[in-house]
Amino acid sequence: MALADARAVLPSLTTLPSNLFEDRKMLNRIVQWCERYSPWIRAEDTDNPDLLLEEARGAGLWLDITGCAHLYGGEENLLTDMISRIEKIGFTAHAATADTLGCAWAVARFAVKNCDWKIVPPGESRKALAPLAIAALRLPLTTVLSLHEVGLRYIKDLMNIPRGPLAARYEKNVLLRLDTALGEIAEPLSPVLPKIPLIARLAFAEPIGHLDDIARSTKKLLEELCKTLGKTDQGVRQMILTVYRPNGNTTRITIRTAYPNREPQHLLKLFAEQLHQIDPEFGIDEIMLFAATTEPLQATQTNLQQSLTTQNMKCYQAVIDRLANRFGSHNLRQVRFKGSHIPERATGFVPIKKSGDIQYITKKTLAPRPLRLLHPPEQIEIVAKSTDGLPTKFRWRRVVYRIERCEGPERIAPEWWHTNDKNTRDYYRVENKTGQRFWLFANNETTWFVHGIFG
Amino acid sequence: MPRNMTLPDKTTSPFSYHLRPRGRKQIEDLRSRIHALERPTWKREDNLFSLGIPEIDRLLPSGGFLPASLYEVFSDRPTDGGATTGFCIALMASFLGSRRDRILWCANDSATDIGELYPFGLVQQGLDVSLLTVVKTTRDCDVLWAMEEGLRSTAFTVVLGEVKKISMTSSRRLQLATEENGVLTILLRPSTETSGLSAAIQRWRIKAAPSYPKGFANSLNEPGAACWNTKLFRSRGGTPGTWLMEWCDETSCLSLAASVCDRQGQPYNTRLTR
Repeated sequence: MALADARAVLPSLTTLPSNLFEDRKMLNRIVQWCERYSPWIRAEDTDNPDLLLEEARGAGLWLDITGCAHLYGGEENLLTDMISRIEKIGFTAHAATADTLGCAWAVARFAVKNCDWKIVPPGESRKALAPLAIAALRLPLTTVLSLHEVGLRYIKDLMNIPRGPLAARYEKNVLLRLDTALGEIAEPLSPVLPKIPLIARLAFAEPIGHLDDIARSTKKLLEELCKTLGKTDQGVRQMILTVYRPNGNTTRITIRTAYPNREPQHLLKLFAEQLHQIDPEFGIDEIMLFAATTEPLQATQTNLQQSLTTQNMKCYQAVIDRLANRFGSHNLRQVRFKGSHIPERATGFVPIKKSGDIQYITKKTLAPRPLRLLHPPEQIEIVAKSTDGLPTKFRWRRVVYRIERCEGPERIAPEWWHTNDKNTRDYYRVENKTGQRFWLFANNETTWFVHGIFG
Repeated sequence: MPRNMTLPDKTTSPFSYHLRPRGRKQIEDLRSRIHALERPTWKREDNLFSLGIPEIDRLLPSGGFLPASLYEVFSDRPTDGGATTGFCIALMASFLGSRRDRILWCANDSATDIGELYPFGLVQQGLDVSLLTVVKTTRDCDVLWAMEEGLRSTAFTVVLGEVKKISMTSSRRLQLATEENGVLTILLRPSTETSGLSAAIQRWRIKAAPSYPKGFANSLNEPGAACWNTKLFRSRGGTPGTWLMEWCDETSCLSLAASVCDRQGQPYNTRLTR
């Protein structure tokens, strides 16, 4: 059904654009979760979703449960357990078990759905496949339509006609899929290799309590973990240190870095601050270090004379990490210019981004702008006005200022695409007798505010 | 003129002009020996920078501003925060020149109560904001910690911190770290703080001054370029002084505002002759 038709039936239909990338990521996470059923799992690759029939487009998983079914008390129990758990997460699922991949795929998607799961008894794949449509053989839409044109609609039709003409007229995929579904040609499943969690553990024979001991063991764990990371060319972005005590209490310390890093010295310095705050209580039994988030980090060749820019970059990254871990990464800012003419939105400080790209800015030829901007602008009280309507005396923060010089007005109108914002501002640059320079504005020509201070 | 008196030389300090040539040389030798003891890592005339005002440079011990040192800048009144910020930026911009080096600014809202830095204004004052990193903190101890981290890493060339109170030991610690690493350090202090003891080599007090608009702007009674009354009230090895400085936007430089001639009520084309 096309979207327009669906909307005609139900006008209040909520639609969202599809995000295949995110769907794929979610599917990979479900695949990792399915490790509890079998170690031999894979997410289905859909080459080009537009070329397949509708039933073939949904996300799918393949699990090889040879020898795993008895752990759940039979294939039936395994399937019901899996489907009920997936439905608890929030997805609807259909599953099928068969001798071959092709048969299971076909039965799961194309069989008459009177229940969520089906088990094809061993040796009966031919009987199960016969009544299904040809599209159940994982063929692309064009091939299916051309087979329909000559009257071949069901798999049983394919099974009955001689193979020679089929091979001659259609691509070899047709016969290949049929044979693998029936089990005559083997189709192996290459599984997704499990991710090795990056954990380093140290258990003590006697509970330790001294800070020096904790620091030393953390250092040892860091060196071990960094070596493992080095083997896979990865750097850590977030690391969690968990401390276990004999009475069951645990404490967790998390550090984050702005750039992937695997230097034990640098990471130890980041931990050092918070290590002091661990309370050993009756002692510490075990320390575990876990690299929660990692990113690829190429090995750099250490020259005897490292170039100045790479050295500076490393120092910069290191100091940014230390400042961010103490103050929080949202308090570490750099300048960003945004496309807006409203002064407080035109530029500002944003938290430092990891990419580290520097936005080189040439001097903008603008009307004079203040050195400091008040967030939010503070309202002032006009004590005296001149004949032009401009203020000559105003009160700000309980002090009365007398205006000697004034430049303006500079009108800054609101952005027309924000329909709620109807405040037009007239900015004036004023100077006091003693030389203090302010940036005032009149909001809709009625209320006055001070927005900034000049140098 | 008496026989012993010699005319002052531009390169020596004003104190030595009344001595004989041999005496003057002895003083210079002593001075360089003491300086070598004081600052082992940085040579005396290495990397000096200037604000562009020769009258100030003449009164400084080394003939210019030393880059690897601690400078302290106070506001005179609570409302002079903008002038103080402007002066610090002019100091930084004169030091950096056209170099692209990173700057660390440790902002503390409880020390300066006049709002956040505005990048457009900073660019107009001559600072390259693309390499500016700002750390927002609320306590003095955090600002000092961040400044020291920035000093000890070799990533930053200029470090500025807004501190309310700083003890002699903390300032001495900062000065030592600065000299070791060759970084320009500026402390921005609010006006409420009385200047106690400090290890900074120069201590300034900044006050906003009425500006001198030129030409058309004057006749329309518009404010001119930024103008500050700056007072160097303590300079290690040099002479204190007070100057009226003006920042020129077009040429991006500081200059002494000529306060001797009275510009009020003068039409555009006349020149005053003294």
